[in-house]
Amino acid sequence: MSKPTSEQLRDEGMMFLGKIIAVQSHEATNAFNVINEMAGLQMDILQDAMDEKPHDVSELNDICTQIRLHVRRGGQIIKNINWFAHSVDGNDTGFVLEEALSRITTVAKHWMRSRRVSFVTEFPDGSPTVETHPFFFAYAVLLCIDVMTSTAVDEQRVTIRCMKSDDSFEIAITNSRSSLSSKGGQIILSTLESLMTELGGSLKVLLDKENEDSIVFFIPNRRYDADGDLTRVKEGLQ
Amino acid sequence: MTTDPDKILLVDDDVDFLETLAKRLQRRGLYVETATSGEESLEKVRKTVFHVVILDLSMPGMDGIETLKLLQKRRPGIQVILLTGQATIKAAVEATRLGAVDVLEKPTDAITLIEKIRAARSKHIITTEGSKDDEVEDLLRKHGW
Repeated sequence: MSKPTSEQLRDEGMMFLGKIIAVQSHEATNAFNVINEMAGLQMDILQDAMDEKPHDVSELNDICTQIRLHVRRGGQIIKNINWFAHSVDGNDTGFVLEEALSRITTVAKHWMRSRRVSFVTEFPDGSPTVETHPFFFAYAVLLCIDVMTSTAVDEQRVTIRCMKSDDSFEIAITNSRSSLSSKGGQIILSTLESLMTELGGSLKVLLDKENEDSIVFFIPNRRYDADGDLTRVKEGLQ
Repeated sequence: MTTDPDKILLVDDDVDFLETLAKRLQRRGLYVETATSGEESLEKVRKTVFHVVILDLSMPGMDGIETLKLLQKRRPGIQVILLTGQATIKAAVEATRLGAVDVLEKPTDAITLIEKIRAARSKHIITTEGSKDDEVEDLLRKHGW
């Protein structure tokens, strides 16, 4: 199976970005819908007060607190949209690994609403940062989660384990069953290999190890060295 | 004309939205129960006769369309109003083909929703009483009365 070229990756990536932004804007709409209903309920209570009907003023305070919570929820979603939109600016960016993976898993949960996926994440201590292409990185992780969860019918838990060394970091994404062996899975795997090449890294697939499937990414902490050459990281130990 | 209170089932996976909308409808005299999933709604419909179901289109697991199909199987003729974040023509046609009485786009005003509920309820009464009238006529014809 031929791997996608850099140009094909960019084209497919743009379509993927469109999907992500559509999903996130839908979630933002949900947050605004709740705020709308809560504002309506406040108006109902105030109307009761003006009509001298029985009413509970303390309920207004609770509603205000809830509205602020959902404004924050909407704000986080907008920040995620912003992060993804800027991730295709074209330059490598330094970012905190844990924060990026947190955004990515939030988007994954929204994108895969129908699949009932929950995530367990394990991060190294110290909030490590990396400098690489943020969109290709996010695209790779999301595609990986997609292929790891597409065949399951019940609730499932995906583990994302992240380890960092001096010159590279490793991300292992694990689930009890994946569609890696299928034709569709093989196509996604081919795209993942191309993405790893773009990032100067590599990947390893572990099937049915301890009744779980895993994909492990090995990515350099900095994509380009001091001379501007693409660094290459060797596969780490799993 | 029947004097049963309107019994409404609200189905949405967003708990805060669900509870707030339920409160607003209850304040306006409706009897409201809630369900946070398609599966839960089917269980509630099995136990209680609801006049109208307000159903979110997009839910994890069993989505609104799948839930609508199963609701119609379990309670043929049940009046279902779909709520969606993006009311496309395609979604509206599909929902109507499957028996939904209306498709509304969020955010929807509580007053508008109540008007739609009353309209759905009236339609159900007319349809039910109409079919009862047909049954009575058939019975009269059968006995030659």
